[in-house]
Amino acid sequence: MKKMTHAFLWMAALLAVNSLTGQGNLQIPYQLHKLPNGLTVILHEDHTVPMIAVDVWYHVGSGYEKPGRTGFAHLFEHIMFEGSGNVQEGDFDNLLESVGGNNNGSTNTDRTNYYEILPSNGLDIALFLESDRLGYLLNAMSEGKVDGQRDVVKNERRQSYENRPYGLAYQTIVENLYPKDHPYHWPTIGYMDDLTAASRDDVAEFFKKFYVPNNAVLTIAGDIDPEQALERVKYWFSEIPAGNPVVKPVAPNFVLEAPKYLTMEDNVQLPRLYLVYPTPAYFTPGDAEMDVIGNILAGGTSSRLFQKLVYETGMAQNVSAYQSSQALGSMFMITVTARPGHTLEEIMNVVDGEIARLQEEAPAARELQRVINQQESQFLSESQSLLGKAEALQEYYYYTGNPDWANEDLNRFKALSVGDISAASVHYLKPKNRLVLSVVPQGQSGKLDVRR
Amino acid sequence: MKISLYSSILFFALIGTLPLAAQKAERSTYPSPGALRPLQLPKVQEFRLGNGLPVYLIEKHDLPIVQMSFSFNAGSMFDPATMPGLASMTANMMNEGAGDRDALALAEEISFLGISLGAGAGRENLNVELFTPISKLREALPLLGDLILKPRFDAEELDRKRTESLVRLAQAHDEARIIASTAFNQMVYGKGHPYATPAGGTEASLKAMQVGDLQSFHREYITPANGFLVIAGDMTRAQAEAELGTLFRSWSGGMLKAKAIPDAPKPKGVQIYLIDKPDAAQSELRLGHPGVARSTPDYFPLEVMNTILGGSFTSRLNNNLREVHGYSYGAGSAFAQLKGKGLFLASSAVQSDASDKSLAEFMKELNAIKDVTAEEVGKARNYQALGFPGNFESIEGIASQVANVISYNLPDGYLNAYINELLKIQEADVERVAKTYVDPKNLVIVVVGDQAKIEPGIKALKLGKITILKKEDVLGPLPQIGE
Repeated sequence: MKKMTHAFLWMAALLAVNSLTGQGNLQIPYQLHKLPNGLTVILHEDHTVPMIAVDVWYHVGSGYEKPGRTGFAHLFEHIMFEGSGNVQEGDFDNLLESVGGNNNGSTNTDRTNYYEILPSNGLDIALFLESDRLGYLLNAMSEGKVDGQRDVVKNERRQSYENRPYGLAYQTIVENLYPKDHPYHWPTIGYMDDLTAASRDDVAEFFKKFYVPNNAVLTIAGDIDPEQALERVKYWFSEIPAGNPVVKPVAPNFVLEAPKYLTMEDNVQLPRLYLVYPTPAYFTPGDAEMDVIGNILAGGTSSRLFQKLVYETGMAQNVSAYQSSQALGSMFMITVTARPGHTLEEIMNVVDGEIARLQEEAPAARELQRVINQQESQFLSESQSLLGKAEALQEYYYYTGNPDWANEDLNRFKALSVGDISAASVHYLKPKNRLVLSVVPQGQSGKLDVRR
Repeated sequence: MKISLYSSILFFALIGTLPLAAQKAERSTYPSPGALRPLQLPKVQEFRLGNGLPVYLIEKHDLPIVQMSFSFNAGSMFDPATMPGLASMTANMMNEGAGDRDALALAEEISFLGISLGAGAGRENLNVELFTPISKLREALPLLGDLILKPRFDAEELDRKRTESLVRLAQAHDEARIIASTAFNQMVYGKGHPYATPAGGTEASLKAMQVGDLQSFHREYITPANGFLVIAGDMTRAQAEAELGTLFRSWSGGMLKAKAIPDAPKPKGVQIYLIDKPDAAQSELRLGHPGVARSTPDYFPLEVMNTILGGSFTSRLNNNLREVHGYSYGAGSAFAQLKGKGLFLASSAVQSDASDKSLAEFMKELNAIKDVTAEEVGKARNYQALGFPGNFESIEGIASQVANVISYNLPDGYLNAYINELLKIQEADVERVAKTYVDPKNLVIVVVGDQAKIEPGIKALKLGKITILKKEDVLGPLPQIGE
């Protein structure tokens, strides 16, 4: 992400699940158009405030990178803000700020997004900026710009990962969960050495391959007249030629034949346990079940793991469990931070006990209904935000082909029975099919961690 | 819903008939914005419940949801001197069981309904907030009533929360960000100042805290006379009066609470505090001094000045530290404004080997802000003024804007005048407040980083006296956590 703090990179999938879920008869009315150069345009009208959200998704993320060239999708995202053929360096932000606009972008394994939130009278400015960097970025690309953003990204890595307690756990998890030839084998932020090695030519090649209208979706939500807005989109974007079709990465099938046990030392007071299971891809069968299981196990004070680990025994300071949904396969991750005097082994035993209980005995109907109620409420809350709606349209379109898939999304959950939940926990939460990472204070390897 | 898919064949037929030049957008000059569309600010209705609680209602009926935000003068600045952390613990414990429901039952019900309901304490206020779909309002209101009127404060729950807070104190020792901000507050205000006391409590205060302390804090501060309620969303005045009148009938009395905030003395010269965090990949930097109260007549010029200095992406600090030098992922500044004098703070996390150079750049920018250009002022005031309507997208945002006006006693029509007041600001106003409110000669600087690596460079800058502190000097020793 360009500006904000960066838990987002690896929480993106989780946030996306939260932002997209729906209510009774959920709808985000929209129009969908396709320009001859392949650009997809989605428009949503809402006049609550005189503002608009202009949101562009490029269907490329760190999963499209190659080993040795990691961190590119994200480094590239940074360079997109540094000016283009007809926009001087710095003026991307100058222009937007001078009309009251904010902007940002973010990168995950599957996609890169860019957005502007601004008063509706600035529509042309946002479209000019977005079209110029899609059409003419390379005209203004220099070694200096790549070097500058390389330094910024390295500091992003230091700030959000290296200098943060437990900040390198995620990297260790993906490296060890996914095989070497899997597109999710490396962290989205990339490795320091690869960032150092990125040249202007590498960056240019990446641009030509992925930043083409036929690999982009532009969504505008807010105070617009859709017909006029479409005219302006055509005016700014039609001249940009289509590129070659983008080849989507393919993930090799893999199973963990045996559990993997890893230990990392970090500058922390408390040990933390991560249990990670490979699970079905976003919106494929099993994905909704894992969302529900995450909620039953660790959604709030009354959830099962919270009750056992924090409330009843006081063994843990906190616990989370969630499905991190992604295009080529998801991860289900349980994270528990131990309190002083407790080992991660003790904690894992309790977690395993609760998983076994869920496998043996269907949850209460009320535990399933809770998820549906929360999603309906969440959808209403998110519906207030222009960017929230633009992102929902984008996300549904990318993963399902239908921008207004909110109802269908909710129906996935309504269609589940409590038996389905137990069945999914049997199928996906097998002890042999998981990675167990212990992060322990310096010098505590072999004492507080889980070893086998 | 309407879907139109343009066939590419049709389009190519069209394009063939037009000269290509006509298809190109004009890019030689930047486009200008069109006419600004006005923001229609919602009307605020004011009334009181029978018990005297002031209510501010903003009706908004486009979505079936409602937000209720209670605000009490009961933040951590009201902690007794002998018991820091009491306000925060009282708020946390209001969530741990109320009325007939114990902690688990209350949490389960809130979670089942899919509503958001909870209490939390900040420095000035203790807030209770409810967000609910109208379809769940009937079930949500009794929970809200219980949480405010009948928190259980069970002793076992307090023991649980006590342990949780002690562990959190221990975890703060891992976080350079927290160490830096805590140290900065203490050094600017002095440790006993109501804006600098440890809001999360200390080992001693947490271990001493009893149910009776919470009960009396609650009794004294959570009263209709000491707070107000803002409602935004799908509710009429008649509904609000009827529903809440019944719910809060038994609630009465109390007194309006206020506390005199001692003036924080200006630092004398530049005082540098360096705290060691061995092997840190970055150094956390904090620079600043006492700032202004929210009631300052200079609010608008200060907004514009701070935007130029460090309040936006294109601000001087961010541009310098991030875009020009690449020392950091971001740098910024803020005037935290409270009822008393808040903080002026400039901050960043910078790569360790550039700690000294970054400090030098900060000093350069703090000195240079007394001169600004017309272009900078134009951009900054537009950025703040024209983006303002974005605060009114959601009912949570609307409630928060209105609550600010009430809390800080801002004048009638304040929100309506906001945009125009900002657009009036000129260079001379900005330069005047920069000279008045930013003083690089009398400054507190806190650096948390790898001392062995960064101390020599910082010393060589000769900015001022360097005091070496341990994180325990700031946070206290690691707490002993028993079972």
